[in-house]
Amino acid sequence: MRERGVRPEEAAEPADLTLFGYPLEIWYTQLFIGLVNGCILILVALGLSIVFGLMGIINFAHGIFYMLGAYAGWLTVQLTGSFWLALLTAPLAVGLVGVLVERGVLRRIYGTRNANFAGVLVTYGLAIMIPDLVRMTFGRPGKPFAVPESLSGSLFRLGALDVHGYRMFILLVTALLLPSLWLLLNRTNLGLVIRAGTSDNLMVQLLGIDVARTWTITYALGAGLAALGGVITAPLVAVAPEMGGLVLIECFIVIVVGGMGSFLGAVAGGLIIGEALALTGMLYDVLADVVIYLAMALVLLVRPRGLFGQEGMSEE
Amino acid sequence: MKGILAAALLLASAPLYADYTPFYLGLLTEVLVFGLFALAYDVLLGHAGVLSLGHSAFLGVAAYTTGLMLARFRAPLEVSVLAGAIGGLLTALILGVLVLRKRGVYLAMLTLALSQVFYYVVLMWTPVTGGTDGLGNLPVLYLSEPLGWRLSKRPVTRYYVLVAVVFAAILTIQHLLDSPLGRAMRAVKANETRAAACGYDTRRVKLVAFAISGAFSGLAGALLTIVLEFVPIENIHWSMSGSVLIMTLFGGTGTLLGPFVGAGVFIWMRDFLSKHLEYWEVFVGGAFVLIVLFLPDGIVGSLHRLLGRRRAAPATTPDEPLPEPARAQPARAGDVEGDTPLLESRGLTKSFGGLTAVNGVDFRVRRGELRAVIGPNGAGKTTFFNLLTGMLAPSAGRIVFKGRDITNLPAHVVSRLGLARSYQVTNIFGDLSVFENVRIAAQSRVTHYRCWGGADRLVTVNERAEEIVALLGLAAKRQARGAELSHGEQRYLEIGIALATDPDFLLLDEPTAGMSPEETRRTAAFVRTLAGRVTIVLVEHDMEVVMGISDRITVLDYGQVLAEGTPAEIRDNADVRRVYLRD
Amino acid sequence: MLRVDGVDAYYGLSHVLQNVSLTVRPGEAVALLGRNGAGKTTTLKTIMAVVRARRGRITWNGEDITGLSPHRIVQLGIGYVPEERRIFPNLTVHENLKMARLAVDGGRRLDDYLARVFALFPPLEQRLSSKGRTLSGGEQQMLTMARSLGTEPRLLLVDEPTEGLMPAFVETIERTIGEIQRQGLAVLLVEQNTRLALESTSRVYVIEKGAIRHEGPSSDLRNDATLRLRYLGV
Repeated sequence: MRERGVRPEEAAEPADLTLFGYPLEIWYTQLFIGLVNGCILILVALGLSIVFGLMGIINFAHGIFYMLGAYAGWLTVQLTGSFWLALLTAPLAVGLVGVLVERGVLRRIYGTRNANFAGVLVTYGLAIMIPDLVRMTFGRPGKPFAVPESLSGSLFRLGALDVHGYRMFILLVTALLLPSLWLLLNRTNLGLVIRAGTSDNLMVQLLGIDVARTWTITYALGAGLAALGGVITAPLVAVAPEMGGLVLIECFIVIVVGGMGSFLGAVAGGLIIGEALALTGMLYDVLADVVIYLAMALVLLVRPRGLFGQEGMSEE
Repeated sequence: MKGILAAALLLASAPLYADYTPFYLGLLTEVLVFGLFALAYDVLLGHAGVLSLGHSAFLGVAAYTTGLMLARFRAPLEVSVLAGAIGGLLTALILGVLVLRKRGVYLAMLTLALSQVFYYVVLMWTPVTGGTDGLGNLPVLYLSEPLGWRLSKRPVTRYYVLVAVVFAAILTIQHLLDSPLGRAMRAVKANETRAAACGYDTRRVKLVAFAISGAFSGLAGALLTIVLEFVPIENIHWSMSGSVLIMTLFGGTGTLLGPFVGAGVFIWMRDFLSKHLEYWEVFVGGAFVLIVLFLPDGIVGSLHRLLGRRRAAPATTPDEPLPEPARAQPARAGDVEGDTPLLESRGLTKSFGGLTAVNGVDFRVRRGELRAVIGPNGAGKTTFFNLLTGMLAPSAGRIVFKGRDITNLPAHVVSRLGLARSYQVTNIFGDLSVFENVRIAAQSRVTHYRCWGGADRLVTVNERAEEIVALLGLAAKRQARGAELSHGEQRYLEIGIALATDPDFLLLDEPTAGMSPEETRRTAAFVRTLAGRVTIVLVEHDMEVVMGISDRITVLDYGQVLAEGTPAEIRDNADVRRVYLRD
Repeated sequence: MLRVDGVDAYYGLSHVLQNVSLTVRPGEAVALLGRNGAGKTTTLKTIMAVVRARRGRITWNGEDITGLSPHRIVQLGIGYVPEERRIFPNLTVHENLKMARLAVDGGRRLDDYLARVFALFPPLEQRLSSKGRTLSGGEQQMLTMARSLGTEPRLLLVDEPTEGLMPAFVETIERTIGEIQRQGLAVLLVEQNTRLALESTSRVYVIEKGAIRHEGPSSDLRNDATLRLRYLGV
C-alpha cells in the first residue's frame, strides 16, 4: 500500500552534504514520503481504533473497506471523470456497506459468549469473500488510477526537497480531517456517546441512549475512513483486490505502538510507522518490511500499553 | 481408540477404492497432512482456549527447514522431518513468549503480525529460500544409514508411509491431551483464574500448548514438503493461518476427527469448487461466516452434541434437596494449636485511585481456628480476601503465611503454599464434569506438566477427588457438567475445588450466598466439620451462621478492623451494633 | 406504577431471585432492605433488564416491560442510580450531565437542567470541568444522582447511595430524596443504612436469600425493635 520513494541512485544530483552516505536531499524526500505514508496510516488506523475501543472487536473487514474505497473511487472516476467526486462517493458508498455489515452480520454476535472472537472470525470470513466478489465484478488484474492532473507534478521546492503536488494534497487532507475528527469525538453528541460508551457501554444505555444506533454509525464511520484512505492512496499504489490485506496488519501495528483507544496514539503511531518504513526502505531495503514488526515486538516487551495507551485498555 | 483404529483401517484400504489413481491418493494425502495441521492448531484453540492467527509461521518455517535440510545438506529423510518439527516448535516458543503477555483478540492479532516477520524473511532471503519462486530441487528422499532405504516414488507406498506417520502423530497428540498436562490445558480454557487459584501457572501451561501445537504444525509442514517435493511461499503466507482456522472451525474444535473432516471440506471446496466456479473463495468465506454464526461447533462438533444429548444424564431439577454432606475425617495429626499465627497481615492497605478499600489491617489467625470476617457492605471484605490470596497486589503492608512473606506472590504460587479460597460468585469450571472439577484441583499438588501417561491413572489424585466428591455428597452427579448443577450444589463444588488442593488454610467467601435457609444450615454444619482438618477464615453476612460456628470474629468497617473477639463479645459490642444498624 | 410479579433471576450460575413480587405506586417512596447478598441490587438490575428475568413479569404503568432493553425502560420513565456510581471517568462533570439529557432533548435545554442540578447539589457547580475520575466519592454520588434524574424519570431506583461514604453524606441523601419526592417522583431505595431507609420511605420490603420475607409500612419497622431485629438485626 505504500511506495518506497526515491532510490539514492535515482537522485538527480548529489548534494554536498551527506548523512550515512545519502545526500540530504534524499533524506528530506524520504522523510516527507514517510510523513505522507504516516498520514494515510493515521486515517485508516483511527477508524480501526475507534471501532475497537467502542465495540471491542477487531474489524478484519477494515482492510476490505480500504480496498472497496479504492475501487469505489476508481469507478467514480470511470463514470464521471472527477477525482474530487470520488473523494466523496467512496467514503459514503463504503460507509453504507459498513452499515449493511454491522446490521446484517455483526448484530447477530453481540452479547453472545466469545463475542469478540466471533467478531474477528466473522469479519475474517468477509475479508475472504469480498475480494472474490470484487474480482468477479472488476476482474482479477488491478486497475490503473492516475494521479489527477491538477495535483500531479512538483509543486515547489522547499530547500533541498522537491514537494510533489499529490503528496502535499494528502498532507492537506489529513491536516483538515484530523481536527475535524477530533472535533467530532470531543465536541459533538455522537462523539460524547462514543467516548462514554468506550469506557462504560451499559451505563450509556442506562441513561436511555440507544447504543445500537451509535454502534452502527461508529462502524460506518470506521468504514468510511478506511475507504477514504483507500481512495487517496489509489493513485500511488496498485488498485487490486488484494490491497486490503496488508494495510490491516499495518494499522494494527500502528495502534499497538501508539496505544489502543487513544487519538493521539493513532497519530503518533502512524507517524512513527510511516517514517520507519520510509527510512528503512532507504537505508536497508531488506529490513524495510520487517522493521515495523520488530518495532511492535519491542513495544510489547518494553511498554505493552503503547505510547499513549491507557492501562487496561489492551487486555481483551 | 476404536474410532481411530477404524479410521486407520479405512484409510489404509483406500488405495483399493481409489483404484490406485494417483490423483485421489494425492488428495487424501493432502487431507491427512492438513488435517494434522488443523489438529495441531486445535490443541491450542480447542483445548487450551487460545486463538492464534500465526500458525502459518510454524508450518512455513518447518516446511522451509525440511526443504533446506534436504536440498542444502542432503540430510536423510527422518532427520529433515525432525528438523522441521523442531523448527515449528522453536518458532511457536518464540511467538508464545512474546504474545502470552496478552489475551484474547489482542493476542490473536499479535500472532498474526509477528508471523509476518517470518514471511518477509523468506521473501527477502531469495538466494536461500527461493523467494516467491519457492524452494525446489529437492533431492531423492531416503532414510539415513544403516537402513539407507530410499523412499519409493510410487504413490501408494508414499501414501502408506504418510498414513503411518500421521496416525502415529494423532496417537501422540491424543496421548498428550489425555495426560495431566492436557487436563491442565482444558482447565485453563474452562476457567483461567480458577486454574491459577488452584496452583497452575496458566501462562506456562499455555506456552507448553503453544509448543505442542508448533511442533505438530511443524511436522505437518515437513510432511507437506515431502509430499509436494517443493516448498511454495504460500505455506508461510498469513492466508495459511486463515485456512487452518477455517478447516478447524468447519470440522469442530475439541474433537480428533473434526480437523480432518474440516480439512477435507476445505480441500474439496478448493479443488472441486474451483473447477466449476472461478470465484470459489466467496463460498469458503460465506460458509465460514455461516458456520461462525449458526454452527459454532462445526460439523463433527455439532454431531457430537446431538448424539451426546440423547445419552445425557437427566438434568437436576431445582426442587431436589441438597445432599447431606458426609462426616469429615477427624483432624490430621500435628494440627496442634500453637501461638504463632498461621496467617497474618500487617498494615495491609489497598487503594483504588482515591478510594482506600482496605486501610492498615492487622489480622492474625492461629492454626486450627475458624475465624469469621464480617462487616457492612463496602467494608472491604472481598478486597481483603483478594489481597490475602494474591489476586490483588496491596498498596502497602505485608502478608505472612506460615512465617513466609507472601505479599506480592502471584495467585498460583500462593495456592501451592497451601492457601486456598472459594469465591462469592460461583467460579467453578463450568464446562468440566463435577469429578474433573475436583480432580484437576487435586492434580495440581502432584503434577502440572507431565505429558505422558493418562491423567486418569494418577491413583492418589483420583482417590482424593473421590473422597472430596463423596464428602460433598455429589457422588451421584459426578459426571454432570459443572454448569448443570443446581445453585446449592455449585456452591458446594465451589468449596470442594478449594479443598481438593489440600490446603492448610481455607478462605471461604460467602459460602452460603444465595442459598435457602435449609441449604445454609447444612453448609454451616459442613464448614464446621471441615474446621477439624483445616484452618478457616470465612466471610459471611448470615449472622446465625457466623455466631453459630465461629471461634472468633473480626469486624471490618471502612476498610479497618473495628472489633475482634468471640461471638459473645462481638454480639455485645456497642460499636458493632451501631455500625450494622447505623443507629 | 411499577409492578414486579413472581420474578426469578440468575446472576451467572447463581439463582439469586426467587419469586420476587413488589409494587411501587406513583409518587411513593419504598425501601428494599436486607442483608448483603440477599438480592437487593439484583432486584433493581432485573427491573432495569440488566439482569434477565427468567420467570415472572414486570409491568410499568400497565405496560409489560419484562423483555425490553435497558435504554427503552429508561425512556419509559424509570431511572437508575447504580451502586458503583459508574461515572464516566474520562468525561468532565459537564459531559457526564449532558449524557443524561441526550435521550431527552439532545442536550438542548442544558442550562435549565444544570440550574436544577446545582440547586440540589451545589458542590457540583465548582467541579463542572473536572474529569469524572478526579471526583471524591461523595461528589461522584451526587453526580450519578443528578445524572439519573436528568433522564426525567417518574420512578427512580436508587442503589445504596450512602455506601462507602462519610456519615455526614447521609443527610445529603435524605434531603435529596425528600426533595425529589416533593417533585412527585416515586423512589425505590435500596439501603444498608436502615435508619435512613425507614425514615425516608413510607413502605418497606425486606428481602432475604432472594425472596421477599416481609412487607409493610416503614413506620412499623421503625418503631418496633423486635420486628427490626427479626428481619434485619444482629
